[in-house]
Amino acid sequence: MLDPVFILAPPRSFTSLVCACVGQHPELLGLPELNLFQADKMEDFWSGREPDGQLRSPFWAVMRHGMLRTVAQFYSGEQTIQSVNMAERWIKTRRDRTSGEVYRELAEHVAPLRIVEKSPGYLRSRVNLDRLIATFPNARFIHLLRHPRGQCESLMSAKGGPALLFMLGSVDRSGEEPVLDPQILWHDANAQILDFLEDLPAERSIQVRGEAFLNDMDATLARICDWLGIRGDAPAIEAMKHPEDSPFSQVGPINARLGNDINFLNAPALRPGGVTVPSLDGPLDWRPDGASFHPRVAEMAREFGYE
Amino acid sequence: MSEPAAPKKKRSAKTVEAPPAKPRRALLAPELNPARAVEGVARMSLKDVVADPALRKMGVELWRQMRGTPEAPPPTSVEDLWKQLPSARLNSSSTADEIDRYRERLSFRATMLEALLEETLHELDLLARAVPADVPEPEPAPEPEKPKSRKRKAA
Repeated sequence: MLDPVFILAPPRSFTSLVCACVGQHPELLGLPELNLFQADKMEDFWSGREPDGQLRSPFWAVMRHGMLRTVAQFYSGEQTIQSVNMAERWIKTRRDRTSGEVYRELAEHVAPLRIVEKSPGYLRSRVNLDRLIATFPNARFIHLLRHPRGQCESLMSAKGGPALLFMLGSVDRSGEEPVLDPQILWHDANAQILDFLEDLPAERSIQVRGEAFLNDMDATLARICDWLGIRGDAPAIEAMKHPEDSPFSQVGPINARLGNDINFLNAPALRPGGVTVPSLDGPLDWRPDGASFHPRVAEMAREFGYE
Repeated sequence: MSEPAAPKKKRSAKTVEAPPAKPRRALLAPELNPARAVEGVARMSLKDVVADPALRKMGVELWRQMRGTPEAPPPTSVEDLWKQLPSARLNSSSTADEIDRYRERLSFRATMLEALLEETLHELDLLARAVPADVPEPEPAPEPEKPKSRKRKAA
């Protein structure tokens, strides 16, 4: 069994699309957001509560959908109300196991296919990432990048995006009035990813700019195949260009509808047309004071190759 | 099997120190928002939000915005039967109000479907007794001949 490939990025960085595309390679298997490593024990995963009793997220019930859909698909071959009920029992019978043990069980079940997964929630704490690497010491990581202006504007306009930013503390409180500022999340999530990946051998991770992925897909997919040591022939690349073929690229049954961004689930196919890369200069639309990017955000973005 | 332990080397006067831990990148959140938890990309501390009137106001407004999906008008026509139900749009756990509205729509659908079923069965019943107009009526069956009375031959 090969350790999975994880995609690390702040929310609204094309993670759903990239994960589904890469996961369509004949040697790989893209999964919805499992969120397993946000908990140590499966009991805590199911309850959504931290060891101190605090609820991990007000949306935790929804954040289990990806795991329910995955178990239903793996062990029933379908995602229906009945198979999701079965998946719930499957998870509950493993309540005393660690999330890592259960993740390994899933990975062994689908071997020789190699899992590809992204759960932005893993970035909420370094503990989650340490749990992940302890379970899969040979995991590989795609650090997915997006221009801060594009990512921030997307997050501000997404349904529930501003509330998510608030809950994650992406608020500039340095002035008299608080200002919701997504660049804080963009910076801190990427800083955490860089710190984590620097502790690993260089060949275990790759940086991919989301805009380049969409604008020059064949070349970017070939680069990812080469890095993973998997076949990069035309049929394999073609398969990766059909994220809609995944059984997880659609809305699930009523008792586990999500597991991914609802906008992606409603329209998972690639859309023709390029993505424009915005500029780092100029005022930010979401700042009432007309401020531009924080110097450290601009510096990090330039390190990633943005201008 | 573990390898046999290597003989311990005598420590020289100059001890080799472990390399210092790599400095982590400074995060922006603690600098711009002291109320936020410092570790990782965590979450806002509820206690600090409650204690800060401006943050509290912002949080309440955002929550209302997120929850404030425009209420669908109550269903009134048969066309409403096939409109998307609220659960199809829910992407989070439901509030009591959302569940009530969903129940109302389902209840309306159930009533209408019951009425449609009753009407349909009634129509089927009528249809069973209908006589087609474009098919000629079958010829009336000939009446059976009366048996001829046999005259007894005179003895």
